[in-house]
Amino acid sequence: MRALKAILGHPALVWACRLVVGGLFILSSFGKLADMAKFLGSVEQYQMLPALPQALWAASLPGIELLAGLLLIFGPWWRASALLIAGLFGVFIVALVSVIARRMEIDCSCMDIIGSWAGTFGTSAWLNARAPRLAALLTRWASGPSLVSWHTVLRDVYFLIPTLVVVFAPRKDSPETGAGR
Amino acid sequence: MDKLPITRKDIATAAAIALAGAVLGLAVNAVSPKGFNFMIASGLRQAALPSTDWDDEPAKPGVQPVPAGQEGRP
Repeated sequence: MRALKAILGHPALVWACRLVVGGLFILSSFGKLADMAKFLGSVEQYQMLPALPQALWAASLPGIELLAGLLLIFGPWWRASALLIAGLFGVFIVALVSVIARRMEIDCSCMDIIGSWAGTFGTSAWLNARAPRLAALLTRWASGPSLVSWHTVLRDVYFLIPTLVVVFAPRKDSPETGAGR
Repeated sequence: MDKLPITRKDIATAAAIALAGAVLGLAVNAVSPKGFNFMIASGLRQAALPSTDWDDEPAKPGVQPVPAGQEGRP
């Protein structure tokens, strides 16, 4: 147990998790900020909120994602950002599960921009010449259906794990390791 | 929360980041050409619908208005 704690609290792992989750949130916010009207349409599909909170959520979420992602990587308040991101993942998971429970078939539209970049990279001649397996994997991932399913829920759970590693990273003043503020 | 590395200050900071991010998002939406009309989307204001009152329709250019009493004459 102590060994696991030491591994999970290792500064290098905490840094890697910050980079992955922060990068994911920055990229994801770019897609939403580029076309906020489209994102409002995606939020409306979930049919979870009345008009005012729905519009507030659609207008504010991309900004929150961008700021939290930037602060997670570069900021002084990375633990607070990780806490906020963990909360957002919690909200996303609840929304996705509610869609599945209501038997709705809607497009997740969670990470449009990352999917399109993965598709472009996967079909590039450069990658196909060097790593055809990776290219095929990326292309399949990008072209796959993005309908809300248990896979989309699991994907959010996967990303929640590194976020929690950052949230619970030992503090500098803690006797265990020297990772973080 | 004694044994957890999270403090009340972290929670307050997370709330402040969320608030600042929300302001950022609202500002970007207001200035972005692909942003949506917040007042209409939130239901705070009705969307302006085209008038269905035929009398309000403006005259088309090049079409002379028919004087009163001469409607239907060739």
